[in-house]
Amino acid sequence: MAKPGIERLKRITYFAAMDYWLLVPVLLISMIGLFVLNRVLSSGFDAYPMVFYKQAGAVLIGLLIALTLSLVEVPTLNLIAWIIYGTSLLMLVWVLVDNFSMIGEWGADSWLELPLIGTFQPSELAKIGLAMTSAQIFEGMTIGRLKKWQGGLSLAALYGVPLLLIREQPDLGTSMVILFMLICMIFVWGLRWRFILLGISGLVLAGVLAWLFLLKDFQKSRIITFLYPGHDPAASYNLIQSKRAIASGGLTGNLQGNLVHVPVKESDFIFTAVSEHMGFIGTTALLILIFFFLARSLYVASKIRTWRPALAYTMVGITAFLAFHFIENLGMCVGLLPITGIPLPFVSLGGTAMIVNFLALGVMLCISMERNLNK
Amino acid sequence: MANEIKTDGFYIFDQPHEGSIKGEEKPSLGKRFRQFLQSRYAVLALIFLLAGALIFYSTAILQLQSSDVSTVAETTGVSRQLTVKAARGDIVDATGLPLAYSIPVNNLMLTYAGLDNEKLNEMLLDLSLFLEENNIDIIENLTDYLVLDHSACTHEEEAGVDCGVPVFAREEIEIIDWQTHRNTFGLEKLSPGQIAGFADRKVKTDPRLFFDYLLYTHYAIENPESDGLRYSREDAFRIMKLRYMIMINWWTFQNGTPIVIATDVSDEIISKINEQNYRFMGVISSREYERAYTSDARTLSHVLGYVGRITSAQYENLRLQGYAADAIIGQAGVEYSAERYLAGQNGIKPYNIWSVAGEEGAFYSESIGKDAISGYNVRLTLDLRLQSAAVASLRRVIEEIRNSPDNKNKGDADAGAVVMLDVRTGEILALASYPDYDPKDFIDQKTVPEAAERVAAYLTDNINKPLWNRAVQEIYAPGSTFKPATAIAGLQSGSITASRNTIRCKGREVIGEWPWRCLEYPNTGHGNLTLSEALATSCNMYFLNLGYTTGINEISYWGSKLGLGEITGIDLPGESRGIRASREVKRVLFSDPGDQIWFPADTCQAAIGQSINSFTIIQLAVYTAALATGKRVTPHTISQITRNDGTVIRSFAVDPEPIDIDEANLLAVRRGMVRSVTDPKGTAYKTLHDFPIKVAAKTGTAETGFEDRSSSNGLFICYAPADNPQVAIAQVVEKGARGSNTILIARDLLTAYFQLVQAPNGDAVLPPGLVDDLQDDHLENNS
Repeated sequence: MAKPGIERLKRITYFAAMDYWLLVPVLLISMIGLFVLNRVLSSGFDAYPMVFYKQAGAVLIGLLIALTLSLVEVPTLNLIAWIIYGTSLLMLVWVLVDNFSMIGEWGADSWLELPLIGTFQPSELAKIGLAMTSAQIFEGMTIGRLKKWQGGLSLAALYGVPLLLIREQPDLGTSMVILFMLICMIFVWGLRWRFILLGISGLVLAGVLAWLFLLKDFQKSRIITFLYPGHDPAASYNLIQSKRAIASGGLTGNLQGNLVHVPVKESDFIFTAVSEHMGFIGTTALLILIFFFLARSLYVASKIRTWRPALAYTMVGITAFLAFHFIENLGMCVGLLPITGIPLPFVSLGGTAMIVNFLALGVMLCISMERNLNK
Repeated sequence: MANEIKTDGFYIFDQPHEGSIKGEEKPSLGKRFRQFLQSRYAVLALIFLLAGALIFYSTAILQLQSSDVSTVAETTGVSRQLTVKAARGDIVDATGLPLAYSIPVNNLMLTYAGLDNEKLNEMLLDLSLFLEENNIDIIENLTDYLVLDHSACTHEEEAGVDCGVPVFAREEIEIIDWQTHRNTFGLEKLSPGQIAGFADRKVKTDPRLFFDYLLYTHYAIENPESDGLRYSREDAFRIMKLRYMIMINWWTFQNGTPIVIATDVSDEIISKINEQNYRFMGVISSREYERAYTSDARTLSHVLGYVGRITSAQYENLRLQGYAADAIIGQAGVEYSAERYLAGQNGIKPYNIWSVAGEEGAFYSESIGKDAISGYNVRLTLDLRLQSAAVASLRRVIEEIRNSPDNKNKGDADAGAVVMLDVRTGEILALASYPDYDPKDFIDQKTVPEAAERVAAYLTDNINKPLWNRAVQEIYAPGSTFKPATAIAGLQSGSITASRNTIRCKGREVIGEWPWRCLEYPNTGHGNLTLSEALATSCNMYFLNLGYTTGINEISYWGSKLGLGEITGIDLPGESRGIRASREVKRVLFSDPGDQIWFPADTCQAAIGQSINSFTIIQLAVYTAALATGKRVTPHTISQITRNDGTVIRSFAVDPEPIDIDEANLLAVRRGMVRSVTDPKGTAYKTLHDFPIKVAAKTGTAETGFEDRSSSNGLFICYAPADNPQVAIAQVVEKGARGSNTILIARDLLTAYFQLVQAPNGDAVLPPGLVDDLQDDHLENNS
């Protein structure tokens, strides 16, 4: 196997090949995140400023990992895909069996306590691994190396194992992300529109049936509360506090320092803090950066789909799960989507999540640079 | 290169250029973008962007449109602090067997959320139904007074129709007291001829009228002016129960102290309620620790003590040490005396509740707060095996004495105490007091009605006084058990010597201006008696003579040296000092000048353990140990304070203090005490002469001054082995008639002790009768 980077650097300088359209938005997003986090953490966090330094350190380490990954040759990426996938599976099993698993403070019991690294959610890693490995199967089906039934079975096996393991934890949010990723990849791979329509109507039917027979009363009440916040004036504390906090930001941020209390503001509801401290201007900048980044990723993917289908599908998979995280998190803060425990990538407090997100960015940069080098 | 990579799995086409054929010119940016738009990737991108636009729109609307933030929320969160109670330390016996420990309990609490009347009632009903659905009992007191009577309901009606009739659960006089009490309803008494209505503030003796008063007036659950009723009678009563709890705790409640409405709630229910905190406004939960006792604790009741809510006097003293007004603290025994080790440190937990707008409070960050530190553990010196032998034997002997009345025994023995301590260290190995109590009842009284009744009985029974530790708190005239002290005083002061100590018992004699008669041989007398013979037969004439020649000052001095009438320093609360007869004490004790005079006959009485001499059983035990070793020990029940990991924080071993008594004199007294067991004429011969280990003993029968009505107290002291003392025992059976009647308790205890010495890991094998007793006890406890 070729040594990473050597072959590439023969052809073009690293800096010329770098995809700044992907790298710079993410860096800016992280900077906004650090700026806001510093403000949030400095008021009422016992561990401040240590906790902030840790977060900044995580951004630096993440960046280093991303830049290192971008040097990797494509064949090595293949190997890395399986290493990530395998590792995440092992960790998921570990979470189930080992005493090291501890109860995550905000939700499912899906955390792993690792020496040195700290708490870690293996399902994060599983998402990247799945995107990269399943892309190879999609490619196989695209170029005819695999028959459709072979590909379908492989995909079922590939997704089935981690989904089952995550189901055991249980972590509904992560399962949804993975399914969303799979759907996006199937979609760009080229599932016929009529099948897509069939799938959508099937989902609607399943939803109705679940409502009638499966869901318990308190689960229904959660959904009703989400759909009709007005039906209960005292609806969800978090949501109302979140909206108050966003609203208090105004055009340029809430400068009186009269902050609204939002639970887990430093993590799940970091967007409310962005609005409080930077106002409309800050949130608009953040949204533009995020959605430019997502659109750019898909653009790059579409450009290499004809000659590097696996890389294109990988790109779509990673973009899909990041997009899901971004949209779900932002949507929940403004009350468009139900509240789940999904943090905002590159912004929310949490070192290991930050590093994993940069790992994903590294893969994306590598793919985009592969395109730049062969243009 | 392409071929090489192909085999690696990432398929690479030969055409690396985007949408163009190799060698052709690169298409323009516009063309490339149009290509993108035609792909499905663009569809995906559009969906994402659409979502982004929606988010942008929602954010912008919030930020730019609503200048008035308060229109967004009708309710708000309020944050307060809650004390997290520390777990109380464990108490274990000398071998490490657990006696008292702490168990975690989830409490459900109601806090002040500023709800208006209507909302509060709705919420309370919702909560009440929710708890009922989940079979959780609500802690409430209203039903002590007012209940809905369903006895007239037919079967169909019980299914849900309002057929329950309000009735009072107490006598009318109690109901009136209740209704007029300032802390409850504060209603005015009816003057004759007045008739109460539901809307006035007069006492209502008709339960239905009172129900309506609560419904329409006091709690305003229903509006009397509106047509029809909002709630069924059952539901209204549910609301009343909780409103009543809020009302009687109103003062602390509105100051932010939560009211516990349910305890021992499962984690699952707690998380359901927390999840729906907007539905149950003001309902919070906390994990607390509750004292629990093992079934063995029953045998150590007076040593262990019990815990209870802090009294107002205690609170005044302890509030600065961080005790809350509702703290549970040790109220007796080691629970009391080791409170500062057992208590631990309470933590602080912030909590957020829902509240109506306007009720603003500071928000605490999730990370603020302090964990509770659990208390240290206490290891006792008592061995549970010896203790249960002591308890069972004490009870059995009292019963036997009661069941075998004779000319001196009226069969009225009903109480007693026994202490066994290690003469070398002062460690108390067993300490029993009868009647006793179950420490567990103080914990269970909240939930088990029988336990509450028993606790009420413990607290009010002034005749049996089960809470009274008779070994430490009660004082008894020592009777003849004092004679060794008189002997020591005589020997030390030189009235007699170890070799020349014969005194003649004439049967009848005037000593100290008072005529006395020998109890055994009133006509002939014992004749010449040596000290050891006198101690063995317990001849009064000998000691009357000896005491009179020695003098009260010497007797009192040596009594105090031996620990009688002195605080022993035992680590149990409420130790009594006792009274040691002396001229000064008599002067202080009596107010009438005629009673303050010390007569020569008083010296005689004091010499045989009567007069005003009164000591605790623990003092008698220390005194016996002093006779055995010549050293005074500090008796203690706590051996160590340890951390949870077992490291010792403090040990309580205190070195015995030597007493300045000639060894020869001590030997003379010890000989007499041994002789009371070995000499067929000795007072302890009958019960102890066949005991395999040599025991030194002294019996005592103390007159209580009520001999026409009740029997004398029976006392007994001993130590063993006589040659190499290890343990000392002192005991009393109130109204036991004779000291010798009680010896069996000591014998049982010595049997148990020496069996353990020989087989430290075995069980103490008790005499047959005792084993049955213990088994009966066990059955009783289980039933």
